Amino acid sequence: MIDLDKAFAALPPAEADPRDSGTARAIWLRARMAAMVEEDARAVRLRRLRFASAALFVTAMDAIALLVIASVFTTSR
Amino acid sequence: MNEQELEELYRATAPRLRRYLGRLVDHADDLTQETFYRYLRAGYTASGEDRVRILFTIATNLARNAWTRTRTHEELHERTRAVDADPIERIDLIAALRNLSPRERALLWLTHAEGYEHREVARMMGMAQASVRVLLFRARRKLARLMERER
Repeated sequence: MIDLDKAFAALPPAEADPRDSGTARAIWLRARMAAMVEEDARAVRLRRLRFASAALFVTAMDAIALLVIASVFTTSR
Repeated sequence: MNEQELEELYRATAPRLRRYLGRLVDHADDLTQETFYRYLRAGYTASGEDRVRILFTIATNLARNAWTRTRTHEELHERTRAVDADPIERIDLIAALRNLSPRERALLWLTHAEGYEHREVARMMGMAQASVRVLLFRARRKLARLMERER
């Protein structure tokens, strides 16, 4: 029976690549840029959400104010 | 993780990952880089050997995606170089590995070349430990038979 552990141990060792440092820096930059783009997109979404909620608040208050005025007039008669 | 830490981790681990992925896919360099990119983006806070385990898990998943995309057991480019070890045994193993499925190659590599335990291999490959034991037993038997035939 073949000794697989011995056969695997006989394989060439993992070789370092002299370009590894440069590649690591490129990966780091790519990840940072992706994070920045995501943050930017998140900020835009947040701004839109804030604007939409403010618009909803104004509309709701407008409707409530009208209802209050209408109720005051109807009860006073 | 800062830039310097990544550089150190990459220099220490990328050769092992490249060698592992080189047995599974034909674009090992790209997948090695993608593995580290995903590791960074996921923001893991592991340290020491745990980081290496996570990297191997990511690499295995990426390789698995590549297998399902291509559905072929493509011919692998061998990057062998002279070492002190017995060359006949080495060539036999490389040739025999080519005839196994990518999953069998991954199982054998993680167990025999990287020395991970069944429990760790199971986690990396997303399988039950019992399945790893059974599949590994079959893969070992198949590999040994192939190597004996090639002699």
